[in-house]
Amino acid sequence: MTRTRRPSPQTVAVLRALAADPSAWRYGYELGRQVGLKAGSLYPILIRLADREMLETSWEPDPPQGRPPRHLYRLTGAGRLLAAEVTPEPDGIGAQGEPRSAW
Amino acid sequence: MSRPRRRGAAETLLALATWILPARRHDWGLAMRAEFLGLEGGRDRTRFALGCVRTALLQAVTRRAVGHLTGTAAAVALVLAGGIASPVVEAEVLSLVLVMASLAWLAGRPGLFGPTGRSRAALLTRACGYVVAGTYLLVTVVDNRGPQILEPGAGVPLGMVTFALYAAVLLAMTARDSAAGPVCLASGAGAGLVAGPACFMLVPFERVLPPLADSLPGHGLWLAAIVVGAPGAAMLTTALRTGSVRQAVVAALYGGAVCAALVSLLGYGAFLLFPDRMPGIVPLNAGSPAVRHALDRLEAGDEYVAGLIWGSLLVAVLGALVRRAVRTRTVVLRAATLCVAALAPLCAAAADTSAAVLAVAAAIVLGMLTLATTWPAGAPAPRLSP
Repeated sequence: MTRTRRPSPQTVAVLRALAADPSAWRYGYELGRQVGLKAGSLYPILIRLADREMLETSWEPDPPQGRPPRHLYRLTGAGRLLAAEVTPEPDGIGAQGEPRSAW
Repeated sequence: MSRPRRRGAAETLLALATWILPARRHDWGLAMRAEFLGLEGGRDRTRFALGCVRTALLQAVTRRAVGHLTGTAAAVALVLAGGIASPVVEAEVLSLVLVMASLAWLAGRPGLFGPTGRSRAALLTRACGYVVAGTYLLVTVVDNRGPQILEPGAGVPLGMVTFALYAAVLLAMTARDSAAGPVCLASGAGAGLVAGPACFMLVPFERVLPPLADSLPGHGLWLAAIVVGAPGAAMLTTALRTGSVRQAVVAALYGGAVCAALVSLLGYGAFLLFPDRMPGIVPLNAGSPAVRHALDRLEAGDEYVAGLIWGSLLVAVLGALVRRAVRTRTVVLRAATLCVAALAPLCAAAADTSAAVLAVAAAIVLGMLTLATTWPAGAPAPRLSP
């Protein structure tokens, strides 16, 4: 059975950031900085979203020499629907300030 | 020439995070690493790595680690509360528990022993292995409870080493990167399960009594065809189904190893289940009835110890063959294992038991070294597209 519990404010922030430009591939550090989440909070959210097939993942196609390819993320169709469901108001978490960080 | 840079605290933390992550989250470990390498500044890197450690802990702690720690704690509690009289034996059994717990932990991580292959044969083999490990522990505890008549724990170290050896190689065989496919595993195990009881019935029961097969038509000599034929059939089946000579050889060796282990287990099981049927091997003046009984058991066990030794030899060769050899030293060690292993039966045929045992011991060391050198050079390249 699919869980219907409302996502946490941090997850909503991630969903909103990804939904802002749903066709763009984003990478973790940049996304974390945008929504004010550190790795310890961001990655569990990304992992959970990917497990529930809300998030599509890929690897950076042409990484600079000397650095491995980054993992890239964008919302799937189901993820976009969820984002639309949970982020109707513009005065959400981003407007109130940074969500609680992990560390 | 530039010297390799020392790993800083942040790198160490990140390495810890990727190590803790469950095997199925391997890609996420690579993702964290790629992000980490793109960061500038020690503070950012350290904070990012700390976050990765937290993520990894959350992933691992909620799943496998809890089960693993609970199982290990239960096993340790069983040993401590089991009433083993000798502190030496208790320490030996506890060390076995810790070795098995370490292997079980490694079995879930990318590496030599894990994660488990995706086939049902691999999963079933591991599940059976865990059941056998638990049973072995239980029997060892029960068998060493209370005061012992002879030197406490006689035979315990040999059994433990053999058991750990079997466990390590079985885990390597059933790991995802193993060269032994599902057909190889299934046919090898099947052959061993058929050949083992047949072989047990053919060897003199409790060393001095007539073989159990004596009561069968033709004195059960036809069972010899099963003992030889079952591994042969496993080899043929695997060769036909997979087209791989190596897998066929591994199937036959695996069948032989399971057969040898079964002969020993059935022999020791007979001691435990039917103590009154123990033949009188030692002279009547060897001591009290209880002492004679214990000595009889020790003497009768020789045949089954031999089974364990031959089984260990086969397992050592399996360990040398079961993974891809990429490095030159692995190839050399593998060749050395095969050569030394071939010496053991030659020495036994020449009735030089000491040399045969030495050859088996050397083959075990070489086989395990071969296995150890297959990682990480033999590791598959990380999947770059999910």
